[in-house]
Amino acid sequence: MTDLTICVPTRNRQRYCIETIRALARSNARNFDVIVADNSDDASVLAEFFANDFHDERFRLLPPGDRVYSMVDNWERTMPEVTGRWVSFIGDDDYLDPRAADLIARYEKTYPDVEAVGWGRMAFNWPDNRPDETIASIPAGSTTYVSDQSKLQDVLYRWSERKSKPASGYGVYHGAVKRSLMERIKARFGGRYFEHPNVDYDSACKVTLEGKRLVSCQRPFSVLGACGASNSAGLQSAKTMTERTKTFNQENEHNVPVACPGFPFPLSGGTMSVCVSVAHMTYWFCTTYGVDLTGFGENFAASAMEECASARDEEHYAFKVAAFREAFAEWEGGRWAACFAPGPYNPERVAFRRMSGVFNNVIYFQERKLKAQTPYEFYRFGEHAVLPVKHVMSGRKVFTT
Amino acid sequence: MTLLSICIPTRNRQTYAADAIRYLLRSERQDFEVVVADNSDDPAPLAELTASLGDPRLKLLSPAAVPLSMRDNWERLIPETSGEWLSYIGDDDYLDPELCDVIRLARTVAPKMDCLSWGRAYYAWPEIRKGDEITSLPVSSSLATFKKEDLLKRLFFWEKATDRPTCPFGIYHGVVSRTLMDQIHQTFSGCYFEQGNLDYDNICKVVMLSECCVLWERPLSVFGACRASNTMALRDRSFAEERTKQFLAENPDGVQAEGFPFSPDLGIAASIAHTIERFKQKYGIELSGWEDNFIGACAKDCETSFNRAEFKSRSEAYGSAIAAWRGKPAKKQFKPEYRFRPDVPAFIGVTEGKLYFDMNMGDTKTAAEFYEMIDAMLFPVRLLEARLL
Repeated sequence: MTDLTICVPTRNRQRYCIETIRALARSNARNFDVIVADNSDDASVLAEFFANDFHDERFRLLPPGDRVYSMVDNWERTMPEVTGRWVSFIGDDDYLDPRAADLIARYEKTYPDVEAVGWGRMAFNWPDNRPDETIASIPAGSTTYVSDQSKLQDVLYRWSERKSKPASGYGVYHGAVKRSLMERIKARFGGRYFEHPNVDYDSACKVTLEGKRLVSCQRPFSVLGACGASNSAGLQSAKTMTERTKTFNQENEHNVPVACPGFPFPLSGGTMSVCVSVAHMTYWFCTTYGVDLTGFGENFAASAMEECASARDEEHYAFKVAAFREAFAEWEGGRWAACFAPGPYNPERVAFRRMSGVFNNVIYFQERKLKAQTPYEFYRFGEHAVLPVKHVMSGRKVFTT
Repeated sequence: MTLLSICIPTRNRQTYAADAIRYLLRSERQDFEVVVADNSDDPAPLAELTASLGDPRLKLLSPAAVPLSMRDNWERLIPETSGEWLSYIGDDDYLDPELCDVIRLARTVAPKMDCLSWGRAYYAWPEIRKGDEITSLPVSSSLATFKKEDLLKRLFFWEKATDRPTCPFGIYHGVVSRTLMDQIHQTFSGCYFEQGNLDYDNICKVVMLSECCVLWERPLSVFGACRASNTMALRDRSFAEERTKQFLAENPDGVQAEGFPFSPDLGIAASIAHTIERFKQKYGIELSGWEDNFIGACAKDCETSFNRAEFKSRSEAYGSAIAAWRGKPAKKQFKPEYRFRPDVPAFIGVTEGKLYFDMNMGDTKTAAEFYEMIDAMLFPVRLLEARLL
């Protein structure tokens, strides 16, 4: 049995997927394996790649099924194939350092009951996804901490940090979860590993509720990539986001609804955002599984104001504010409408939104000035500014400056 | 109108100078010029480069009939410049021409500004690196004016000194208004640069005459170190003797202050102290109360040693000089500690306002390439205006 299975679900982005496979295969380690779950319309590209160009027994291809799976179903069908004691998922345009398996082993020694491991994540836009000034980021910390689960639950379910979306520190997506915990999750939550189409948050919500001990390392071990065709690429353009949201909803029509009934914030128009999309997911989870939502109303109103502040200009700001105001008036008979009290438009927020520099222990880069072309290259580049893995593993605390 | 003249004195390091020149001229700005004072034995490489570039923003001063001293090569530059503001860098360094925007903006908040400096970035060219080396960058991007009183304390009283005074206000990796440089010329012996360590010679004069010094903590230039750099002696003491000889040969009037029994080749603290002391002695500035801080800087200088034998010999030499200078009680305050710990790895990440990272990041081959790389992760120059509003 291998230590870690890295799952790479993919759909119609074979070029990126092959790049990701090759990047993972650069590791000589034998304590991990990789499952590529192909959900593409054309099965031949990856099939031929595996048959002719790529031979590595650590890698396995799940060919497309007889129908196109929704994203959540493609993830779901991957889980029974997992052989590792731990499992992690990344996108086909991402990167994960296989030494994460060593990190997990190290934490298992120190914390035998650990069931989920999180780590810092770099973020990188592929060169084809930079319509204007884009920013890549590298968390520069390296501290290990055992999470306070009640605080985590406050952050994730009740949005206590009042950011435009809650931090999802743990889960299978760019994190690792012990397979035994995944089995308990399946048993407890709807008989599936993954239910909600917003799969990363679905996993985060369940791991945070069900996991016994959650340990995290600030040092990054993976890269959230965003290529021109990725869902996250929608963040760069409202038009793209509208199209992607539409496709996403269509693909998930047989799953849990993306929009949660009773939460009247449209996933279109002025409220369309990652903020609202994630809120639908967490709200659905809490109402479905009886998680206390005390405080969520006020907190989400503050988060919505944060979301509005990210508007690209004054007109867009007014558009968003009006849409949120309308939704708050409708939600629970306007109970939280007074909490949504956005101030006047602040252009400074826009100027500093995409800014390079070092803030809160994270390094932000202007991507157009970078030479890295892929998440793997960016990871190797970024590793020069984070503590070497060997020091993270050894738990060393003393350094010279 | 030329706002900024970037001056590059150079001697026999044409490939380094050429790299800096090429990168500087890649800028599309038209409000700066690059003036290169070539003091090389072979004038051909830079002359050919200048001809091939054909860029009116580049001006090359050919070598004189005989090699000039470093001072004379620096001195001849300013009359050839046309910028309203003047900055000097070494030929293995780099400076961002976007400095022009920073000057303009800083003047809007500090109209009397006559000297602007910025955060420090250090780069060792690949040829001199011994394995992985860690460098650092300030992470802050605050813009601040300094009180003259504080600058005088930092420079002449060695307050907050490391192994050198922490007063970065001068023309070398800083920018000084032409008006202030002319005033310096007028006030001090009819020359721009006079003696010793020319960067500190200039800092002394800037601090004395400046009306307003501004610091932007965001780095705008890179201090490069190549095998032929003077700073090489700081990295490898085996270079110190040769560099001192060269330094002395280039300063026929001597570099030592009277009654200051520190050999200038003891280290950076002693060398800079001579420049400052000579300035004070020549212009009749008598101060007391700075000695303890200077002794602290001497200890820190010793603590930069990479091996115990060298640490011991430098500590003894500094100790003897301190005793000869201020007697045994002063020597008792001198307590250097050997700090080099090859068994303890260097920190990488963010701590105490600095980002520490491996100099191999981005696989850069030159100081200009290194600047290009760090520029991508520093506060954007173009946003300074928004920050100041």
